[in-house]
Amino acid sequence: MAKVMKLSHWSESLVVDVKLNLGLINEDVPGLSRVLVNLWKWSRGIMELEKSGVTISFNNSWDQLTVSIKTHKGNSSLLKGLWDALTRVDLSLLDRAINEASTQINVAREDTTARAMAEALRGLMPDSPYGNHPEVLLGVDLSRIKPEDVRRALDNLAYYSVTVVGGDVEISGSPANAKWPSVKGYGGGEVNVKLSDKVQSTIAVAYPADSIYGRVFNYMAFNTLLGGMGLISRLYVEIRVKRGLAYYAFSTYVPLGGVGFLIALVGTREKHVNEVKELILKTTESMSMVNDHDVEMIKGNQRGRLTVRAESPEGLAQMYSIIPLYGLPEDYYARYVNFLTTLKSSDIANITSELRHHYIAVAGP
Amino acid sequence: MNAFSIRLSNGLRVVGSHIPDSEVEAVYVFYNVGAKNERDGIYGGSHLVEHVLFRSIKGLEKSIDELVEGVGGYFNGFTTYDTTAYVEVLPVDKAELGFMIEAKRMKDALFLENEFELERSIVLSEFDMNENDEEARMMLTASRKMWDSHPYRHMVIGVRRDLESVKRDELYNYYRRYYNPSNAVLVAVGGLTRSSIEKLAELHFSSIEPGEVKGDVEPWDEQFNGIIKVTMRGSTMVPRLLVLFKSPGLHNAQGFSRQLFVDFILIGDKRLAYGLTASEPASIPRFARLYRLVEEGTASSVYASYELTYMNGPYGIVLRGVKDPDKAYNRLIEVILEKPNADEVNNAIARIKTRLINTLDSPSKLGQLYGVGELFANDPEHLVKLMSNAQYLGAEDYVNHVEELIKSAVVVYYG
Repeated sequence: MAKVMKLSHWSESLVVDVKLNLGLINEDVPGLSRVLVNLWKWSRGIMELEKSGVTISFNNSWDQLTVSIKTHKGNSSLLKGLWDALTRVDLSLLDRAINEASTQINVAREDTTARAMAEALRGLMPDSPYGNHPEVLLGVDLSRIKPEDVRRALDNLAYYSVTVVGGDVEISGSPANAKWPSVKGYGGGEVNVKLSDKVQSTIAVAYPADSIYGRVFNYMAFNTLLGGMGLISRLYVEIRVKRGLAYYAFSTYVPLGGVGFLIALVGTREKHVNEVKELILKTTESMSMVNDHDVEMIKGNQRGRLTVRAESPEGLAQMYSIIPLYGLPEDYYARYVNFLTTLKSSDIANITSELRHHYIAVAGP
Repeated sequence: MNAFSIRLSNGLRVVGSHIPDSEVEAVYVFYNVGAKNERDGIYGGSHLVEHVLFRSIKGLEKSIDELVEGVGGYFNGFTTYDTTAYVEVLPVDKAELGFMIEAKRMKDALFLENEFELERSIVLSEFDMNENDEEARMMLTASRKMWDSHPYRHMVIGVRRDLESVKRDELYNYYRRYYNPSNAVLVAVGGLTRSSIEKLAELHFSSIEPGEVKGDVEPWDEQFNGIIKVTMRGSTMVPRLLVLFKSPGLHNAQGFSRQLFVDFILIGDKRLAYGLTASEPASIPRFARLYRLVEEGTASSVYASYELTYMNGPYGIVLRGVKDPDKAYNRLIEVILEKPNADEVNNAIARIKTRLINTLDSPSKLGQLYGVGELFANDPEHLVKLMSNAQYLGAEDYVNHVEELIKSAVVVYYG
């Protein structure tokens, strides 16, 4: 399966998405990739690219670390130096990088939304590397990271995928073969986390779901109706539109290599927390009843969304980069459109009965 | 990218741009009303009106949400210091939906009492969400010290007391006053041709009565020289310092371009528009001037916070992980005041050139640029020109600008 994908866009922008073998689940030492991002930002090679008008951002995730690059087409030849820049860091700056990364994760730990999500995932998958949050890194002490840990990670650095939009860019480096750990068992229960100086709580309810190699299309359709279709999804209607209990109320489905999860997130005042928790659970249960109108809305929404997301070069890159990353068929989205054509209410409703486990986390005052 | 503009007989300005290969259309309506038009008793009202305008509208057979989501479109509303804007990003074959919704929103919102009360609760929840965010609270505290009576004082979110007490009728009248064709700009960017845009604009908007009230506010500011320091006590793992300056707004074209240039020296970037359907790569390069503070250990991270404003507006620099706030503030000022060397100027220019190209690569970004430019300068390409002008500035312009910038500031320490 090709590890490199090239796409075109009408604009003069050039976008490159590189997925590296440094996800949360690949780390020998927890938090290493978070620190490495800051070492890269201070590296001479990255800064030289940036001085020439290249924007480079790094995003830590469960399965991979994404390097997102944006510039103009005239700069494409500069990107030949990207791999060299990624493999050369100044280890004398390790303390500074740890300090920066520690600040970033402490800010995330004090954010009710990020914290609630992290706590819910930890409760749901307590014995799995997927049971942490790459931005929050609960229980991780970055000061334990040593120069030799960084050297080892750089020696093994390889890419899972490269997606280029708007140009012809050659990235050196080696391709990596991915191995995704499976999750052995799921936890259930609830945790309440008190955070200082807050007036609003975030409630997160996490459910296990299929991985990227499972019934992803069914789960995407399910999530669209539950909480992924903006203001007409059920969570939004029940919690915000009908009752005015929250500004944000949504769900997201995250399909990964070894696992998938579905998570609902709502921010509300402390006095409404119990009511909102009940509403999240009842609304999820209500997904066992899906009518023809719901199905038509999902079909229209998901077909149109594929077009709209592709309006920008980064939108295209984000959509298509999962194909080489997970070795999916090149006609992946055409298959999704075909799936939607034959979608039935039972395809969605049947998912509801499989959501047997859940873990609830509340972070707030 | 060539934008055209026409005016309908009722005064509505229409800006369009045809991108032959685009499969989407971004349809916006910008109104010349925002926080700048508010007063005591209705602070936050422009934003609450925006919320209510997603509820019942006469003549729409379904809710706006259902109409747009049903075809996979993106929609939203944005209230700023100076404007309120509504947008639909749609597959191009569904673009007429955006024109139809926006025409009805301009004149036929019902403001049902029960829906108004629900949106009041939701906006108060949004207020809570801001209160949860330490840096948002610091910004609001600083803003209220920066201005005494200027309408930018309470930012866009407004005053909790006003949001709790404002009456439905008062904001309905506010809506009727400012939502009219002569106070608005319709923007359509994407796959539609010019003739299609003109035809759809005429079809859906030309029957709307012109209206008389415009939201123009003559630019003004309060004289404020000196430094105000505030401490907010809290329990946090990350003590922070916000230094809020006032930077020139769009009414001062030369000053605005200079501020852009200063940003490219201080933090290496500035975006004037944001893609709505995907997140764009963004990062502060570590060679940017302000990262010296991290290199030296004064802070563990730094960023600038700003909004596009018409009058002089807030420009904040946030330092995280600050141990000694006075020392950090003094060092920040020293770092800002230093004249840029040739390398810094060259780097800034290279990044401005790229940012210009990267700003023009999606209909949803272009629509923002065109709408604001037309609304405030009768020129859809005004913002692009101001950024383009910034690439011809140099070290002297930088020094002249920052010497003025640092004369007044509100410094808030949270820790």
